[in-house]
Amino acid sequence: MTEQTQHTRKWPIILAAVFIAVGCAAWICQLTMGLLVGSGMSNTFAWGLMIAVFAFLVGFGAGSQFVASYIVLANRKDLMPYVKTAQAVALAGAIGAGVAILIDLGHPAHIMAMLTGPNPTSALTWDMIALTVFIVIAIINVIAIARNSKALKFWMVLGLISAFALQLVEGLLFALMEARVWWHSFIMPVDFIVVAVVCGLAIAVIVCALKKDEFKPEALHDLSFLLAVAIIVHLVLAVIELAIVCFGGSAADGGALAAIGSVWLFYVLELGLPLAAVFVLLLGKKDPAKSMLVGGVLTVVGMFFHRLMLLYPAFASPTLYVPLSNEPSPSWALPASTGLYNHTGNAFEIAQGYIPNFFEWASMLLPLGVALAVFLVVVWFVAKVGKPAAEASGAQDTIEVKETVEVHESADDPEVAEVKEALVEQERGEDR
Amino acid sequence: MRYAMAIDLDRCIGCRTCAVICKDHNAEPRGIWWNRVFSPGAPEYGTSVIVDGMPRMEFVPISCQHCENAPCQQVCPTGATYTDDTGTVLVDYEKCIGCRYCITACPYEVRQFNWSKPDGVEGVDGEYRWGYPEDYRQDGRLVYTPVRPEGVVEKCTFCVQYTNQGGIPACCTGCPANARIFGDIEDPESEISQYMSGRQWLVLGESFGTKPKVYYLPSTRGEGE
Ligand code: SF4
Ligand code: SF4
Repeated sequence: MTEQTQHTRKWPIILAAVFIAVGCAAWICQLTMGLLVGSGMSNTFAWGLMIAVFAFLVGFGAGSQFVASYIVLANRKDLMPYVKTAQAVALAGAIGAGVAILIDLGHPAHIMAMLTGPNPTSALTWDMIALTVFIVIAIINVIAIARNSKALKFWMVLGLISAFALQLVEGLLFALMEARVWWHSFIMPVDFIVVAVVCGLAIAVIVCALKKDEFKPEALHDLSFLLAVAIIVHLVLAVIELAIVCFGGSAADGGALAAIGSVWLFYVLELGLPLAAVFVLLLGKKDPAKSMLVGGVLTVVGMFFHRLMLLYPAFASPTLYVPLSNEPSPSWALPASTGLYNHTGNAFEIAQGYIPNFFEWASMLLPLGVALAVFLVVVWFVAKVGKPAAEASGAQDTIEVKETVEVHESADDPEVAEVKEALVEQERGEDR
Repeated sequence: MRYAMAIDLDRCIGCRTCAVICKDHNAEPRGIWWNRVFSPGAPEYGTSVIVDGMPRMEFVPISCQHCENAPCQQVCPTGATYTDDTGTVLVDYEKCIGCRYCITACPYEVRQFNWSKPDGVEGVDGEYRWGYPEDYRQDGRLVYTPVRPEGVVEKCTFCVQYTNQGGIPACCTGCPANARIFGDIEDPESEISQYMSGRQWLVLGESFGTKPKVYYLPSTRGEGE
């Protein structure tokens, strides 16, 4: 290994460690000082940045599982070198999301209550179950990939189902809230699934562009095209979502629109960045890898704004409108108690804005750092597991040893053999 | 038995005594209000609104509506939010994990969160605390405590510490206009049933399907004008 590769392998570890350390410190500050000073939230804007990060990470987790399962089940040999990375992102995203939701809790010390007496009617209970099942299946898939298991296809099917279920539950978690017009539509769960596909493909496009030599140009083109299509489907759903509120006609619909207007730049970025990505992905023929990189990054940033915009129209608008007695008067929102007294806002407000404060931005690094750390551990694990046999026999070329074992193992199943061959190819590429 | 409350908008004078006495009796920490009274159309404080060229001012007190079909209870992952035998919706402070899902689910924006360690008020000789002084447990569940744990949700309990002992909520005791009437809505002889009998009433946010147990008797002002 050259000094340079050693160096490039070190910096993600350092980055993960720094993220976790800074994130932990910020979280401890929030726990000790309280969220009144440790966040920009209020009783009316009760979910903040961490919920956006949760939805953001879980999207990448489920989306990467979609991509990994697609590659294996559709037997896309040309994309097989990416499976390992996709599976690592799937697990990392889900665990990072779990951390985000845990550190968002106001009283984490009571968490046992959720394990000992979960309420079956709560979508948050379904979410806990769906996320746990997803993580367990993702871990099994990592091991199956590392060990070139014969049962890989079976586990990938389960992975696909668990990813689908997870995103469906995430969508329902918001969509079932009748009090929030911005969430309460059938679009929400459908779009959660589509956005996961967008996120999974965006990461795939970025990683494959960076490792372009390992892939045939057609494979890269396919990925770009798939991402562009997924983004277009998402944008169509986003427009329908907006139309539902625009034509809803109720005072609450008007409130949600006003809230969008108050953060219009976020909304423009949420839709504009992925739209720009579509053009870059489809039209950037000169240097396809560069277009993929730019398109992928634009999409990822756009999806972050999309997750932030889950919050603003829902929380920066009132939910209850009251008319005067015996009057065909308009319905008016009643101010609500914000919970703020001597810090940043009025005691009562009709609608409260939200700006995440320093501690929230800093504690956001904890789930991101954990996700990065999990990703690195999975990549290391997959690379390591195949090696002991080879090292024990003193062989220099581990791939050769693995190949012999694999061909022997899978002789009776030509499809499995193909998948494994492709995985071996991938390792060769990496070793090169 | 189903506890309910009627609020007569003709009698309410918008003095906010109910909000203050509620805060006092229930040891609500700083910044937390279980009860609020506003004039529809007024952005923060009670100002009149112009309807058909005429100024109108009407007061609507709002606290937990003790919904029969409570979305807060449905979404609570731990079962911290529950409905007791009297139909009162309560929060067990020892089970609440502070996920705030119930706050997002409640259409009436009445749920309050302890964003910090509860702050007392500086008294002459140190900290001054107020409210019912002891913990109150219902079947072992901590539904009232004068010093709230940090990071949990709270809201109106219909003054469970009093009603479970035969009393009535503090807001009903304190209202100088007698605009609030409390009792068992299933008992035709109860004060609330008698008061509401033959009168028009409405519930807030009917479209949410929450079936509130706080009934509003609309003001007769403006009728037939
Ligand atoms: S008013 Fe809100 S807090 Fe009270 S029972 Fe209904 S949904 Fe729950
Ligand atoms: S904040 Fe507490 S009461 Fe509200 S849903 Fe979460 S656990 Fe239940």
